[in-house]
Amino acid sequence: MLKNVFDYFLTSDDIDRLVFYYEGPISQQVVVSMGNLLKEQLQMTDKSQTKARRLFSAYVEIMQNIAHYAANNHKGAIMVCGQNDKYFVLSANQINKPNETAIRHYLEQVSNMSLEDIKQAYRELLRHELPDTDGSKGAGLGFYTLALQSSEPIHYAFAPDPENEQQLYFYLKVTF
Amino acid sequence: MSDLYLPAAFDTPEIRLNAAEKTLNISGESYPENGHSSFAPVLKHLETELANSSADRFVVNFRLTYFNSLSAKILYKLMQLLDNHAAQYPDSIAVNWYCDAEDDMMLDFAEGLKADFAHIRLDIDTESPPNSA
Repeated sequence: MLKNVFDYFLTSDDIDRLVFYYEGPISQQVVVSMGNLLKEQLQMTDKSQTKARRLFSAYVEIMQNIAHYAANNHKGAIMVCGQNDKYFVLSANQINKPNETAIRHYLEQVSNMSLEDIKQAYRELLRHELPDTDGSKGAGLGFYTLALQSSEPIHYAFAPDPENEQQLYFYLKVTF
Repeated sequence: MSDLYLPAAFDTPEIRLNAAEKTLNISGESYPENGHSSFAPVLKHLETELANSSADRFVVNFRLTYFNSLSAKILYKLMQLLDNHAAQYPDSIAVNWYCDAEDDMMLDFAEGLKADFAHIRLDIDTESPPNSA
């Protein structure tokens, strides 16, 4: 069902390698074990440390967002793939409709900012957005982290969930 | 005075507080899901040790290769604690931030801390970078 993460932003012509694809419930255990796999894969391919670091960081932020906020038992899909010297991290998950506004707010903000502005905003959030104790993790800093690392604007989309009108599909694509 | 030692896990760093030496070492990767429960005891312990050490020199060494956004907030909070102490006892806190010269995000982060926490002497060391996991 979530598999259209593949064709929402990309066709198979757009990629020449698949690093991995995962679909299912996302817990911290999954983040860690898939993360170790990703690190191994990145070490095997001849790629700059900087790119590998950014990719891993984006992977963690996206996965932990899904682990925290996704509807349907924190189920989601994530794909890391590439073409030529580019890498893409794509994700899909269902969210509860009321969360759309906050996600849109952050993503629209970062897409209209220069890198320097994003850095400033990141530091501002560090100063003021303190860690919560109630289980919410403050997604703002996570989106700024993605924006700082992505080499192109972040692509995102929301689509209706035909099976549940209280929910939406949320798609994300980050490029390195 | 008491020591604190937390071994590294895949998603949490090694944390070693030596009360006699007055050092705190944090090394490795940090991307726990719930930063508060992972780090609250550490912050609490550090607070007590700082209170005990008053004007004595206390050295903190960071050898982090990666941290998630949640950990960034915890690190900021930890620095705030150190800075408050150093405001009360000038020159009591020295922080050494070891990182790879090519890790621009990490460098930016450390530079930001240096700018925000003026009471702390923070040295960024790219000569002996930490080993990445």
